[in-house]
Parts: sequence; structure tokens; C-alpha cells
Amino acid sequence: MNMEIKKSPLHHEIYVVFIKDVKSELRTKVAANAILLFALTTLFLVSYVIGPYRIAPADQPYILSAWLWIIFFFSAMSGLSRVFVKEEETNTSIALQLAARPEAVFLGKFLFNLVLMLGIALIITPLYVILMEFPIGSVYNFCLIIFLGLVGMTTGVTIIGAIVAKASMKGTLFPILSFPIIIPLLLAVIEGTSMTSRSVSFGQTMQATSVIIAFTGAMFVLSLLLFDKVWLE
Amino acid sequence: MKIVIFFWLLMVCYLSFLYSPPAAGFIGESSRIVFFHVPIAWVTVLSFLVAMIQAIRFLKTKDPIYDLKSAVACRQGFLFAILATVTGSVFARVMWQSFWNWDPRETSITILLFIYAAYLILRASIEDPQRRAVLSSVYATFSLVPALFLIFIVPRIYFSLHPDTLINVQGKIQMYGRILFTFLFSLGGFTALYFWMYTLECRIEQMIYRKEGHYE
Amino acid sequence: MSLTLQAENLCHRFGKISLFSDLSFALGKGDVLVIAGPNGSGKSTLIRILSGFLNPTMGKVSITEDGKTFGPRHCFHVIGMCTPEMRLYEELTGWENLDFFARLRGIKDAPDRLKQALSFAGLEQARHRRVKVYSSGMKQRLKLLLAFFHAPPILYLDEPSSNLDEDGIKLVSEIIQSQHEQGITVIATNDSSEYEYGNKKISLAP
Repeated sequence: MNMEIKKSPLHHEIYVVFIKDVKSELRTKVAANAILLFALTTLFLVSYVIGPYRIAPADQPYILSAWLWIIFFFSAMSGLSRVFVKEEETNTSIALQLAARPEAVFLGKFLFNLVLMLGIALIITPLYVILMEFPIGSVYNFCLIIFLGLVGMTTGVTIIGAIVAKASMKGTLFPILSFPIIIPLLLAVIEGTSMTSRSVSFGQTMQATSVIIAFTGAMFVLSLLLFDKVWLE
Repeated sequence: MKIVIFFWLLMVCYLSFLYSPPAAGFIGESSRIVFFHVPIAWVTVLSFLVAMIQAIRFLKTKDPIYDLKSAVACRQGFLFAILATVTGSVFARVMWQSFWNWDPRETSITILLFIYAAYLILRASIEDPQRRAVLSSVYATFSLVPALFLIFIVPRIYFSLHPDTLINVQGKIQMYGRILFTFLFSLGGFTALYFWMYTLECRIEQMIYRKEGHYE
Repeated sequence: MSLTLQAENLCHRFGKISLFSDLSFALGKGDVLVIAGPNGSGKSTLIRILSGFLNPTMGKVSITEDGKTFGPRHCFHVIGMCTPEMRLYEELTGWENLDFFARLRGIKDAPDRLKQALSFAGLEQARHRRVKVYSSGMKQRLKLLLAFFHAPPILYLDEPSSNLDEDGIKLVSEIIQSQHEQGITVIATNDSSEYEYGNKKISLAP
């Protein structure tokens, strides 16, 4: 037996971590329920109190985009840290630290968070568009911006979830730490979403999109570099 | 050293109120705020960079002294961020009759304020010194990305009510003569003040650490 | 081709309390180190330091092979560990727990091999039930299995016989016996009947 013990290839480890989290989640459904419930409650509240008719048509793109992303952001805050917090609270993280590479843990859990958010978006977005009568000019751009924005959001907050898992007051700490990090992304993504309510070509949303992509890329690389320090602490 | 700084800043006050003329395009005497607001905002950013560099050094060397210094820089940066926000808000009130407008630059300084506050809250919520040091250093380093975006990219892209920055779109410096002199004088003064405060608090914290074996 | 685990001048303080100081030893294949001492004497802390989960106040732990030296944090994949703090995934079954860790470790998960391993630990009957419903003895056996099944060069056992009945204790004995032939074992215990497993011993005073 030597140090070159045969290890799994990275992509396989990532997949295994991801599948385990999916299995766990399907059995307990805690995170998904939390996020979905939060999103639906906020959605119905906004729809009931504000509704599509209280906003002047000129303001609709901006206000409706902002509300949608507020819903997404706070939904994320109610569920995306669970993937790490649960490991810490149930003391399963020790065995995982021994068995899996930190990169694999991060990427597997990142994928899980991403799938969770995209799943929620698939439910919430059409409901939102219908209830609030969001005028979408270009469906393709709309979906693209939402997708990119969610990828960016998940990238930014996953490592924050890992940090928060190792501290106390995890529930309240997660939004406090995440908000300043995510703000530039939210600004760009709300701008981009509001633009898609007119029929714009992809090139015109380029400015917002490039900010989103640049931000996501930088966050992703930095997360990968820093994650093992957080995870193994 | 502190005598020099004291008199330097006294000079700054004299220069900014009596020596330099009010600038055109501003209401009344309000342009004088630039001699205070901009250096303070600059120090806020400088402090953030210092905090971040010390955090990275800590992550590389695991020497708790760097984490101590990073925390000092964040506490002071927080103070300066509050001052910058307040002075900016006062100016906004005079100039545009409203205390707050969510102008991109105002937003940037606020978010920087939030980053500082979040860092300090994170530190307060972890008991174990080693863990606290690692996690807060990671957070400080991580917040570099949004900070860079906010400080440099956002104001360029989005329309801003903010008076043109010193290095404006045409790349020319638009201050001249006495105003420029006063401004640079003030910039130097505040930077010196910051470094003096920073080294002083670092020394105090290090003494406490050596004596008691722990630090905040 | 075998590993050595070295501890040099290990000291650890908890606030003002010194747990141990100037601990030095080297372990090679076939060595079984027993760390003895009453509760609170620092046995678990020493295990955490040796395995890389805690930095000692002073001193160094290193793992050497073929002339190359590594810190313990770089060697997680050669370690197997079973401590009281560690827990299993309770919403998964015994089988799924084992399968998860087997796949992570690159072990080809032929269902027969997994079944064999689980029956070695006496868990064949319960393998498709969720760990949540296991008794504490069954959980302990599963933890021991997970620490050992990937044949780690270094095995850390902290109070391995806790919660175990006669059969469980026999399992511990078999594991240690097997590990003794293929690698290094470190056992922390306050059960004097386990002291006989070791060929080296450290006693920590309270």
C-alpha cells in the first residue's frame, strides 16, 4: 500500500458527491421545501399586494425584474447553505473530508445547489410572469439571462455557505455575508432582465451579460482556490 | 510623527477653507467637501486593499499576526467608510437636495460598508481563533471580486450623478492651481493619518496578543 | 514501500492547560500504538493531531514514504478513522453509506464485495435499512467498517469498543489483527482490556 493509492478521477468524485446529496435531499426534502415555500409565499404576497395593475407600464420592466430577483435571492438564502450546514451539524463532514477531495466536494455541492435553484426557477418564473403579467419581448434572452444569473448567484453563495457552516448563527449570517458579494451580480442581472421585456437582440444585452459572466467566472475560480481552506478548517 | 500629522491636517483645514477658491459648477462653497470626502473615500479603498493583502498573507503563511493586521485594517476601514458615506450624503443634500439617491458611487461605498460590516460580524460569530482567522481571511479575499467590480466597473458603466472623477473619461486632470494643490495636500494628509492610525493600532493589538495570548 | 508515521516534540495546550508535551515517536508497518488515559486526558486530541485535523501548539507530525515526507493533511486518503464524534448519513441505508465511500475511494463497487464487507461487520440483515433505525452498536460497527474497508495504511481508532457487545468486540479484534499485518494502527482507549493490542504505549495523565 503506498501514497499513490488509487483514487477516483475527479469527475467521478464530483458525480458521487452530487448524487449522494440528491438522494439525501429526496429523502428529507428540507432544502427544496424551504426554498419553494419561501418563493411561493413571497410570490403570492407580491402578486396580491402589488399585482400587475398598480405599476405604470413604463416602470414595469424594472420593478418586475427587481422583484423577481429579490424572490430568487432570498429563496437562495433560505436553502442553499443547507448542503454544508447539514454536514457540519450532523458531524458527517469528518468522514467526507477524509474520503473526498475538497474540489470534488465543492463542485458536487455546487452542482446540487445549481440544480436546486434551476428547479425552483422553472416553477417560479412562469408563475411570476403570469401573475404579474411581465411583458417579455424576447423569450430566448429572458431565459438566458435568468439562467446565467442563477448560475452566477449559486457560484457566489456556495462557498459562503461553507463558511457559514463553520460559524455560529448560521441562518442569519448567510444573507449578511452573501448580500455584499452578490450585489454587483444582482444589479447587472436585474438590468439585463428588464431589457428583455423589450424585444432586444442578444447584442444589446451584451453589456449586462458580460458583467454577469465575468463576475461568475471570477467568483468560480476564487471559490475553487479558497474552498479547501474553509472546508478543512 | 503625530505632531507632524496634526499640523498637516490643520493645514488641510486652512487650505481647504481659506486658501483655495470654490470651484465652478458647484453650489456655493460645497465644492470644498471634495478635500475631505475624496481622501476619506480613497482611504476606505486603501484600507480594504491593506486588509485583503494581509488576509492573503495570512492564508499563505498561517501566521496569526497577519490576521490581526487584517482585522485592524477592516475595523478602521469600516470607520472611514461610514465617514465617506456621511460626507457624501451631506454633499448630495446640498447639491441635489436629497440625502440619498442610489447613485452608483453611493451604492459602491455602501456595499463596501456592508462588506466591512459583514466581515466584522463574521469575526464576532466564531470563537475559535484559528478558525476565525482562516474564515475571515477567506471572506476578505473573496470579497475582492465584488469590491473591484463596484469600485471600478460599475461607475464606468452606469450613468452617475457623481461629479467626474479625478481621472475622468477623457483621462485629463480637471483640477488646477490652488484647488489641485489643496486636494493633493489633503490626500497626502489623510493617507498619512491612516497609516499612523493603522500602525498604532497594530502595535497595540500585538502587545495585547503577546501578553494575553488572544486577540479579536 | 511502507509508510512511517512520525511525531516530533508534540506539545498541546488548551488555554492554560497543558495536555501533553514533548511527545515523540515513530511508527511503521506492524506497529500498534495504544494511547491510554482517563477521560479528558487528551487521547482524542492526540488522535486529531496525528490525523491532521488539529494543529499542535508545538511540534510536528509527518508521514514518510520512499524518502518523501508529507504533512498529515495531505494524506487523508491513506487514513482510516473511527471516532465517537463522527457520524454516518442517517437518511441513507447502511449499503448506501458504504457504497458512497467506496465509490469516493475508487473501489470498484461490485455488489458482492459490498455485501461481503457488510456481513463481515454483521450488518448483512440490516444493510437496506436506514442508518437512522440502527442501534448504537450497529452504527459503531458500520463506522468501524467504513474506517477499515479501504485497507488504509494508517488506522485511527478512538474508543473502538464503545457501544459494542461481545460480537462487536470480536469484530474490533479482527480488524486490529488484520491491520497489524498490513499497516499502522493507533488506538485511543480507557478500556484496559484493549491495552494488550498494542506493542507500543503512551499513557496520558489527566
